[in-house]
Amino acid sequence: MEVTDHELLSQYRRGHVAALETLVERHRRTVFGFILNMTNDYGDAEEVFQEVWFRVIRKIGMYRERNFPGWLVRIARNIIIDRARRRKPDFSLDSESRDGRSPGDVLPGKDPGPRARLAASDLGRKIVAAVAVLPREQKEVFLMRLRAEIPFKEIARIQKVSINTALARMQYALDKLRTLLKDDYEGLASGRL
Amino acid sequence: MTETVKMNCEESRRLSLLADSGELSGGTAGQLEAHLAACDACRAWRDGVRDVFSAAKNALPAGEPSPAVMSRIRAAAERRTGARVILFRQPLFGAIAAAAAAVLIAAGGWLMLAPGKTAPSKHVDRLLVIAAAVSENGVHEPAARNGTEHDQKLRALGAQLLLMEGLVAEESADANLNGAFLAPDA
Repeated sequence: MEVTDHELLSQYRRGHVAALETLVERHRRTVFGFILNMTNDYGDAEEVFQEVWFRVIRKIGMYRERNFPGWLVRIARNIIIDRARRRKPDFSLDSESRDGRSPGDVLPGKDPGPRARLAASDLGRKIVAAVAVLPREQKEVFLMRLRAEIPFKEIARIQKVSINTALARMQYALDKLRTLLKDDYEGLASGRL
Repeated sequence: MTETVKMNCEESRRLSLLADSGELSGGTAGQLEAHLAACDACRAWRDGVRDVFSAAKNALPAGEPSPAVMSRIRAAAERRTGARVILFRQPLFGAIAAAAAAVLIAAGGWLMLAPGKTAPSKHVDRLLVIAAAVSENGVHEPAARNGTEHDQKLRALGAQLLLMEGLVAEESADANLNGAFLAPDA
């Protein structure tokens, strides 16, 4: 049976570095995916990801959450917001990469196959662009669900709103994406990707 | 579609999101299913957002951090753990503990200790926490990590120091020492 996050945290507190490495490995793709899709910049995403784990290491004695991925995403969100405030107008959460490339161009992902083909397609680029222009709060909810599968109850706690507000933000985000992609909707519905 | 059904549609769409995230209880899930079975619009909406969600999952860049970033995180983790493991072996810790003891003893005498009396346990406890906080802040980390092994050891150290100064009964100091050093590996 897989060792729980909680047990790994306890092991690290007792001095087992390998336990933290397992945690980083376990949550690497989801947390990095969330950060990358929020920042739309690979360099920024790496810096934020690194800072997330530095903070985890520093604050591990204060960890009281029940949902470890939720804690990681909460830290990542705070760092992203802090950086956005410091770097305005140079850095924006709601626009494309600072170097002018689309997020899809920044890092297409290592795995070939359907993902790479979709990311490289017109439809893939439309989806990336549509997500990029979502208001920040809606994009957060959408990406917390999409990348880290954070429950709505936890998302509501992270955003400090009611669960109904979190659900409404998700609904708005999905409705906007459906509208923006309506011309391609037949392709989505039929799985022709 | 009646007005009542429209209102239910709004609710059912949010419940559909909760159902997909596994957060819907059995009774409500049944009501949702009943609504979806009767409402083509809500069923189409749910299927549509699932398609969008799935397509976005594949379209948005995923990627992963570079090995250099992973190495820096690993190094930070090792440094931090190393600091904790060697804490009790460092001469610096002894010096800080001595300083903590001085604060502890002075504060204890000033606060509530009359000559010839044993300190009330709640005050002793507070002093132990002060000693722990002084030591901990002086070394590498904020205080207030009650209940951790590290905290227990600091409290035991404070108890030893109090015992040496004759400010607490031996049983009280022993309780802290046992709690810190005998469990859970003993």
